[in-house]
Amino acid sequence: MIQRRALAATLIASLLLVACGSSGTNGTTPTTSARPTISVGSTLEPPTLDPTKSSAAAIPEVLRDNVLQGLVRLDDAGQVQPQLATKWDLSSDGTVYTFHLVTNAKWHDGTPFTASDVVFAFTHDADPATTHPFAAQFAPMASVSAVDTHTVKVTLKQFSANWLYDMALGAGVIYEQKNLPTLATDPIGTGPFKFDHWVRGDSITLVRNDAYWGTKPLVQKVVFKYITDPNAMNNALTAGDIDIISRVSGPEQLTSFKSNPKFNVIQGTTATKVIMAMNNTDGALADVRVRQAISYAIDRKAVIDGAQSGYGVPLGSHSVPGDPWYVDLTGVYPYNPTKAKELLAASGHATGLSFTLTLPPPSYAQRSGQIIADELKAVGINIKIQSVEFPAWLSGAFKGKFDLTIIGHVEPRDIYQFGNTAYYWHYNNAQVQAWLKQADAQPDASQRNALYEKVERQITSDAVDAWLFVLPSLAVTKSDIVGYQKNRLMPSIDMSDVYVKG
Amino acid sequence: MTRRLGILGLSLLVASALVFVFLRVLPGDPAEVILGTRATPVAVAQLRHTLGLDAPLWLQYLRWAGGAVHGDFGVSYVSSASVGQQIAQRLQVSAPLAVMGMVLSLLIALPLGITAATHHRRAADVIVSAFSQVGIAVPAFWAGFLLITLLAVKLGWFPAGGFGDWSDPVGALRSLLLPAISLALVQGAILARYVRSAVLEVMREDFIRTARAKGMTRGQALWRHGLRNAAVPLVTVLGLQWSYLLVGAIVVENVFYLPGLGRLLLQALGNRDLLVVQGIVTVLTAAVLLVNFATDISYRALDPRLQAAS
Repeated sequence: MIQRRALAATLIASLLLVACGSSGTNGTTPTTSARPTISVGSTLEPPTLDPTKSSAAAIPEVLRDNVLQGLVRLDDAGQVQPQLATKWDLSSDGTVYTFHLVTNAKWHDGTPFTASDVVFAFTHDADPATTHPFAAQFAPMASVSAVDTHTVKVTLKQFSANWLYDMALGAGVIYEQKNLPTLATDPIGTGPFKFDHWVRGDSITLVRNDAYWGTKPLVQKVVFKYITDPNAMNNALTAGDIDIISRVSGPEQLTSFKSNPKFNVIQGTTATKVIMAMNNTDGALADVRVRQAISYAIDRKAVIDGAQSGYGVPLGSHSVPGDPWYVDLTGVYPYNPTKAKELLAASGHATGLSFTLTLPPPSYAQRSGQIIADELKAVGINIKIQSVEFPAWLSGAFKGKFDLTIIGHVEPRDIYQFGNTAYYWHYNNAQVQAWLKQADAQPDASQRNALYEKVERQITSDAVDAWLFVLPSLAVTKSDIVGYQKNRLMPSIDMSDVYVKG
Repeated sequence: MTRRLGILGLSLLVASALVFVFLRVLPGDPAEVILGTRATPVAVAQLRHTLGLDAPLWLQYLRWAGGAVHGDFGVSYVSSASVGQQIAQRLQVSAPLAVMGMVLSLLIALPLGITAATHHRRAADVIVSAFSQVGIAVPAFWAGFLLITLLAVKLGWFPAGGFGDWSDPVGALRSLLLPAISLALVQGAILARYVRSAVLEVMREDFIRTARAKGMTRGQALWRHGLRNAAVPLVTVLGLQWSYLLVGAIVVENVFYLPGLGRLLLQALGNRDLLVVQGIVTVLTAAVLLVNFATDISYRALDPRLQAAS
């Protein structure tokens, strides 16, 4: 009897102790200094912090523009802007870039940033022995050298329109030679924030770089908290454990936040093109009429409304509004199931067609897939849905072993892939290949854009893929957070301009 | 004893070999996942060679097993961090969570089961059976979300998730309490039924009637004589439920975004970080096998008659 009572008393006492331990929330209470800590919720934790060793987008998400910087950066409108290079000159034949570097930048360990750092990083990235995941972006580079301590010369094999743009993305970051062995766990950069510590499975903390060479941030600390479950993420924001949800996984979750004055919903765009790729050499799909029929059978508006709760801009070809050569081709294949059936009949496949639709895990793919399968069934094409994990998608569909698949192309300006005959959709058009080669080597912007536009129109009329929509950028912040980026044209959560109002 | 230990070791070996084969058969290549969509076939082949993935399967297994017996589970392909170290760090969250879940489930099941048994076919029994039905049907993650919505979001008594550090033990316990309760509600409901039926069985035994004839109250008779007999089937069930608890913990860790073994397992699987998955599954298998081993041994301590028989 006594033992039971004692047990009950202890239990109640310990529960009370724990509950009253420290009231309220953790992570967002202001520090003693005037500058607060901001917590950002993100779904994908980086597997490592070394961008030369892994292609994971979660790495530039936390490091790019915060800790590690490049010669150039991408602004919120998608334009290349100076970063560690204040200005650059291009030779008249378009092969030599001369970058004039910032003179007062220092690494987080105090060493001054110089041209030799750029030379080391670029040489290391381009070296085949490094197996850099984005080595292809350094392929146009013939050589890199330091002209003096703050001037770097990069010589390209021939003019490349894409090269400078690629250097504004995640792979263009500069790192220190002596930091390379510990880059994976302790990155040292030149950016407005220093890497502080990483609690694996939980969070990464960055602290303000008080010796930053540019405009110093208005917050003392940024904590990236990793939460995979969307409901748990919402709970964390509502309970005050985080201040920002950087990417909302299910747009239907936004309705409760939109009507709540304590939160702001920030809606912008990304460079991600969600498409249904078609295997252009696979049986009936090799016939352009079948691919066109499939394009006519898809109601993009229904897909966006059903899969994305209406958030998303319809796409007609492989570029997004904001690309300099973008032209709206959604009118080439409007929703027309009658026309679809006519084309199928003309190609001798009025009935009996059956394809497997391979779907990777992201919800935009899973949901769009269900809707499109129904739309295709309505015109007489039987669809079998096969859901696969992402690694299986990489070694299966991405190797060309598929009929139809839905995927988001995250890489900006990847229209050049239509000149790659080995690419997973197996498209082989010599005229398109020629145009793409000419475009990349064309220094004059308007002529270049005209060539890319020709490519767009051709791939659309060939119905290489069925383009669906541009993935929107959807974030939620507490209403007192100011300066959070509207768009996400590359995976970078730039916290240098974010602050807490009042 | 040595025979049992031998079986334990052999089971561990077979389990790890099976997991090894299954992981390698899974579609998807770790090198491809690491290098991503811009990778060239040459770079992928080179990385596979660096990681030792192009060696024959039996050789890869032997290399791993050779390290594992010394506690070296290898180095992760993806993060270059020691697998053993990562597992040890995550165990700081998962082990206390599992134990807390087990203890809390017993704290729920024992009083409820005994009450139901002693009030057999009366109101209390019916109520407990109803609670038990609901508890079995409710998934642990749903219970978790309910608790978060009520106690964390609305009342703010607990954090909605996350885990700090054991250097702040009160905060750490606060972070683990709701997850442990989510697990315990389900396990407790299941165990309550077993407790009830075990106690009912025992109450019908002759020695209970003798004890009461000697002048003990029903409660005293149960406590002094009944519970040890009821303990044997209960311990068996506890041992079996332990593995379900571990699985439940993986789901609950996701709901409360705890940096535990379960989350690491899911992440590593998605990244095809095969050595990490191998290490975790081996540790979990060892945990289950060890608990089974412990329950086997405990029978003799609980019931001396079994000792005499064997």
